[in-house]
Amino acid sequence: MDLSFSPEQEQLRAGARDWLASTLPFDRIASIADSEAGWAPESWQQVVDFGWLEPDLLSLIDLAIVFEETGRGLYPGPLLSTVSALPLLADKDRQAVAEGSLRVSVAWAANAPGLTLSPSGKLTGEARHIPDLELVELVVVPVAGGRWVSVDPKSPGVTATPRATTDRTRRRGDLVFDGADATDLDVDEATVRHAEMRYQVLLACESVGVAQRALEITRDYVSERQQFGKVIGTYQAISHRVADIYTRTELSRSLAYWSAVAVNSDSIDAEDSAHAAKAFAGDGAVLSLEEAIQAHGGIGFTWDHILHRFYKRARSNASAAGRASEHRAALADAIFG
Amino acid sequence: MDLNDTPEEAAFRAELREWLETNLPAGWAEKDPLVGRMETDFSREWSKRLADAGYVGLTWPAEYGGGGKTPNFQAIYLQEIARADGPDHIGVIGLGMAGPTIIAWGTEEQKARYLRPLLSGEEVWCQGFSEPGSGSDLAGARTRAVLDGDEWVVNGQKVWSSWAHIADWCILVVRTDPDAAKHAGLSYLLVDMHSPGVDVRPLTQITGDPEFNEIFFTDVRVPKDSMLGKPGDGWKVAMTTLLHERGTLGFALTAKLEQALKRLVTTAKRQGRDTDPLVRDRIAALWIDLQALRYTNYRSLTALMKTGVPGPEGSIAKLHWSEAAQRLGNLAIELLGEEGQLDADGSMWNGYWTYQQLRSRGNTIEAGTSEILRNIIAERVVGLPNSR
Repeated sequence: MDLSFSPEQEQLRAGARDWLASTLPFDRIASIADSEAGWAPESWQQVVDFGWLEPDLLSLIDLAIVFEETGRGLYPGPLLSTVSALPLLADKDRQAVAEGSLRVSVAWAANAPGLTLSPSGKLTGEARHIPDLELVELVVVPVAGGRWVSVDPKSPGVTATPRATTDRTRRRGDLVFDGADATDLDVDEATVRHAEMRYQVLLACESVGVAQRALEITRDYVSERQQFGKVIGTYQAISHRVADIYTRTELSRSLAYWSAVAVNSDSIDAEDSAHAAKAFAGDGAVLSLEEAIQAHGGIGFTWDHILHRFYKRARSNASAAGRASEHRAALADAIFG
Repeated sequence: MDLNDTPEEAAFRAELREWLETNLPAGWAEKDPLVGRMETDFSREWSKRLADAGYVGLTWPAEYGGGGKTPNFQAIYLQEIARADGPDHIGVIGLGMAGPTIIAWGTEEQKARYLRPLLSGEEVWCQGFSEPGSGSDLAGARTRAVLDGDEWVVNGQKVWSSWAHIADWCILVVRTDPDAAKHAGLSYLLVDMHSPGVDVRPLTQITGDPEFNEIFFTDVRVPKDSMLGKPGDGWKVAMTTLLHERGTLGFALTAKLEQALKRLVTTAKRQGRDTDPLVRDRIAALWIDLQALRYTNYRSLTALMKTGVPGPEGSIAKLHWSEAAQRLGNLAIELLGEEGQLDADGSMWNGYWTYQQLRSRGNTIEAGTSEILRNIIAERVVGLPNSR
């Protein structure tokens, strides 16, 4: 049993962290979030150069590190969307993704329950809550019979509706298909199940990074801010809250790493680990951000302060890929047999 | 990153499982869970058997009777013994607190004298740290030791001392220099509990069990060479004690929680509440807590194995475990409904859950209150300024 990372993995983490720190300081994240575009397209080349989009280069454990860092850095862009789609894509699309010319998103089954594909390959129905819809050139959706197809959201027969989204660093949109051309992806049930678990794992890792950043921001603030003649971090009502953020984040991190290893090796506890990590880390980050805002007092409640951006990402992740209660229900089924 | 046992670990685990199967009394796995404190005679005999088989003091130096192994083997031992519901060694204080402290601070003579009988369970240790006036604030200890010739003369009172009623030896924090600044005036003595002047009085816990004790010291004479370290080293030595089994204590706690959770599932089924979605949700949440603790322990152990220092995330183990244990006990009592208010043979498993739930109220107080642990996490791990 060895839960340490290799030197190469530590390097992967450092590279991500340094890049995000230098190109995406808080004021840049805020202005991107408040902009119409909602991302910085020029950042994609670096993502490509890092190799994060190469389907066979990075293991799920490596990706766990990447997303912990992009969560901590609140990277705005279709990165998780694209990476989450990779296992489902045709080879030529995977190639285009790796080269940087294609970005993808997924309408997961719960958000696209009634799609049908005609014998001539025409798609009908609705798909909702597609992350980064405006920023991608291809969307993957499920159709009746357990099949999956890919479709160009800008093609005829597709009506795209971007939605005002609370998390402006990961905006959602809906698609209505009315006889749109779609390409069958020929993926089996096991591949889809693995892709779903993988998405849960990476969401959990991102949430760990989001909570970690909130911990750091809060630590710094309460170590400086004074009231009643003392640094407020010396008041235990504040410091104990910070200790709870730390505790919750470390427990989340342990679950996230366990799930990355288990799902990566498709071990017998892979499904359980993904449920556990998604449920705990997802909801955990929301609670930690709420405590961080509270520890900041009035300024934590302002638009100008960066915390709400992290809070809204935490909220978004908690809702994606299943509510925590649904994951716990699945675990209870396994526990009670 | 690898979650599997190495071949050596797997072999050790398999061998231990087999040993437990052979050496636990017949029908052990099927029996009702133990309620409350252990049977002392059985425990002594069991302790000797464990020690003879080489399963006690696994990480202690071989020259003092230990196994000379790395901490991962201790982690495996703790997991397997808990899964088998194996009885505790009678010397938990000795193994976890006194022994490691003597190894770190003792002279060769002290190590040669004390360690082997501790491992076999022949000699039992208790701890003399807390006093009525100083619990969390250990440095406030006022039990006095005054040098008289070749002996320290001890006067004072200690409290919350588990196993003092059967103990042969006591690790005792005393004040040897009342004029020195608080932490600096403390010393650490190894005291023979059979000495004249030592008076042990049991204290009853809310469970009804007299699991811990007061110890009164009246002119107790302790040989000079029974001190660990020098006069004034007491605080540093005590810190070694309190950081006992860093990196592996979490495994013992988590493994016991795993056993309790299995019993909780059985209880939910027995009560016909296993289809209630709210019950299922709470049990799944506890299961998640368990896994989170398990993998946090492994992360901390990984750091300990690689660097000699447990990872900082290990500091959360006791804190989170204790609160999860309380949630678990509370849910069990709730599942039992009115039956949860009965005890002894009128109650499920002879009052097992009554004992567990009431006992769990002490989990957030003993071995570092949750308040102190949060201070430590905030100040020493996260780096907030000191609150005091």
